[in-house]
Amino acid sequence: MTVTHPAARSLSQARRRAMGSDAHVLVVTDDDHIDPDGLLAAGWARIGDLESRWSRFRPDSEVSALNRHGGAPLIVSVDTFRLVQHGIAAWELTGGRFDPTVGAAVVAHGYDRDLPELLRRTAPVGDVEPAPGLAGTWLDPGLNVVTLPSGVSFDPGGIGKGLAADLVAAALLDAGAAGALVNLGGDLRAAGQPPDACGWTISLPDPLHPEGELARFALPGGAVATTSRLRRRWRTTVGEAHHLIDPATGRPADTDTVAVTVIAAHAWRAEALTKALFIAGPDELARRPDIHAIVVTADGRRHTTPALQATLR
Amino acid sequence: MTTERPLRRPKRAHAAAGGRILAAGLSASAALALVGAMAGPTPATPTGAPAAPTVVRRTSGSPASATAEPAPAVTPTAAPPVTTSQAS
Repeated sequence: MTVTHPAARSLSQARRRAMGSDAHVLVVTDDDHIDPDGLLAAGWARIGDLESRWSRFRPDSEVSALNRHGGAPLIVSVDTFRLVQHGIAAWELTGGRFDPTVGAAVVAHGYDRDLPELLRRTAPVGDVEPAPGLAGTWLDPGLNVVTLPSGVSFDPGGIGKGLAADLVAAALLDAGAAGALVNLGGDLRAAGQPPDACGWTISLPDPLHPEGELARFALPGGAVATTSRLRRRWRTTVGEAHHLIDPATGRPADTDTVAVTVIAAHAWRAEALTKALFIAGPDELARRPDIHAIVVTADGRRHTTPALQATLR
Repeated sequence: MTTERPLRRPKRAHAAAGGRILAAGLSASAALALVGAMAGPTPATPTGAPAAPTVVRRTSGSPASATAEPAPAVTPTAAPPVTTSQAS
């Protein structure tokens, strides 16, 4: 669908499933020589390529190969090297609260298949241990060689979608888009020119009342990520589980927090900060004025940084 | 949160696997071709990421400041949304 805007910019968009989530790609064009449908096709192709490299559910993905070869150096593609680099950066940024090595704990809780299949059964729970962390990972950026410590597996989790949104948005600008927004399951990145002078209007659904809206704001560019324990949850033999694992315990985080949204410059960073705030709980928000976030707790209260207070509805 | 795992410090590049470098799903010849292909462009790195071979150390356990990359300033609006940030 193409919508003509007064500023001679055209907005084209398409939605489909990708990376196990609902995905939405929008491109702004201001040049008649640029084919917006071609841009969208290129965007979906790039997303598909990243998913094929990063999915832990595909045995032929590079991430699966990395996890099979813990303790041994492995040459990976530039994209997968970037993914590991950003996973480490996120782990360090959050003091370990975002941890891409929680994969074993997630699998121990039964999340070893994609969600639709997981929801059809009661998952057995295996031995659970704290996440081992990324200390000891060896990187050679000259050759794109990654060596994970033996016994450590890398789970891209949400940062895979966040970084993919960053990379695909940049690729769309390189391909001729005046502006682009890539939304992969709530991890969204806007880059370049928005469709109008106000920016990209983003809506946040209320996690406790999905038919309602928590906030609406105009984003000039940058990223928004949202995570919730109400979305990916399933039955286990020891009760209900969700996918937000506390690395310190290896168990689903036990917190009053229901959902967290973070606005940041890049989607990988926003995603990492959502996970860290979710684990830390709403009190952390008062200690982190440098983060722009909205935290919703089970009692329905909304905790925000001052910059976002006015966007609440 | 942080690990007490002892740090591995390979003395030399690739020494951890007895000199073998594995390539994801590739034969040895394809791996060599991949080395050539990958050695050219420098990967984009997150802020502060080292460009030289490195071993990751333990985290301090304290979150770092997020001010290195300030968040964009957003404004409230009544305009119809172009997309939603559904939770993942």
